[in-house]
Amino acid sequence: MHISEGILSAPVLISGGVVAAIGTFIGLKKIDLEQIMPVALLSSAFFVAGLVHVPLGPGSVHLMLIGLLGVMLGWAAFPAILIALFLQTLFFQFGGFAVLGVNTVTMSVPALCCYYLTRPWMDNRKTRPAASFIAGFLAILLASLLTASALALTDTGFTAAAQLIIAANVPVMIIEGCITMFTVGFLAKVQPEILHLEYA
Amino acid sequence: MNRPRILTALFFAVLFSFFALPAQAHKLNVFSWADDKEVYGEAFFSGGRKAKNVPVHVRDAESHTTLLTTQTDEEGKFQFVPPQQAVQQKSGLMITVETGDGHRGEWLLAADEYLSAASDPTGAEQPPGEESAAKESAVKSVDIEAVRAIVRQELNRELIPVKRHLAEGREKKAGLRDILGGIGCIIGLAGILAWFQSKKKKKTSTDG
Repeated sequence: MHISEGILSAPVLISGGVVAAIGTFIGLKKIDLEQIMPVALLSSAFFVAGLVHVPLGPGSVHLMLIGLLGVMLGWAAFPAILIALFLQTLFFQFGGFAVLGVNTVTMSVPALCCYYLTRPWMDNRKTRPAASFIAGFLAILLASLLTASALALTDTGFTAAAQLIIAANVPVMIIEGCITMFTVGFLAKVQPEILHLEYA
Repeated sequence: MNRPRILTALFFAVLFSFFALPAQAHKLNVFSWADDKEVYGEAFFSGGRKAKNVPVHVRDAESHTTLLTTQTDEEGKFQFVPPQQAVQQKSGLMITVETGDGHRGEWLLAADEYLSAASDPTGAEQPPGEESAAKESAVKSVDIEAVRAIVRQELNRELIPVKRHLAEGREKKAGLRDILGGIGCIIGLAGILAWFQSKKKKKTSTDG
């Protein structure tokens, strides 16, 4: 869901950069010594997931694991995603350096929303699988909507862009829902402290 | 290291190795070439997926004015007659493809690439060395020009697959080196952050 260089107008790029900087600042403040390795681990996961193409549906899409990052990291998803996106631009020519801020926002804000939305249901063993599936699914849906709004603010119509992006990403939503559900389920069993769960 | 930690590490290792299998960059590529009448082109995502029914903008490479707009077909291909304005000014064509969901790719078709092909039959431009030969014998020069035009056209046609191959080769493929390099960077950054935090912790513990 990377927006390429040369599409967005300067005001959109600048405001994206500002929001990304604020989010990253708050995220970095919230990382303590204990949390550094999970952040790095999930940042790497996001970085590599971009290479996994989902050969379904009409568009060219790949995994992002936004929901998983959100559930596990909260605010720290901002720096994790920013660094991974920077490296994806550097190594794989995804997106571009000027759109780094906007791309960080379109993927970190959904992660954060999913963190706050599904958090209350994560502690309960019964609601956890559904909550984590929804986190994975919803994160991609929100990211699609945010990407469409970024494009709409420049020139493309919002509905047209949103339809295109959401249609392309439906398979990714389902796959990420499942990945998030299984990963959270597994981690809750073997290492609940990484999820900051109250009751394992 | 306790058992849950090892299990978690193993889980992520398996997750990563599963991810790294179909490694492909994710980019919209545009490739274009010309023959004596028209300009042809293709738009495809890395990995070979075609960009179907998306708008193609042709701009003047220098003045950036839009010369014409067309669309790719079901196979991601497009073709157009070089715009008169560009032919007259001998300017390059910047061909841009935008998919509407944020992907964008471009290809610069240099002026001589489509002009030499287009000006073939008339033989408007001659290398200076041939002028003396042309003066020697009119009949002979006509023959040479005709042969030259045919050879150039045939060569151009034969070279299209080679050019396409070159264009595909120009696309950087993400390899294991890139993946490991990126992960290495992240781990390094985590190390730096951990070092700073441990320093801060030490400082506050000695202060307090």
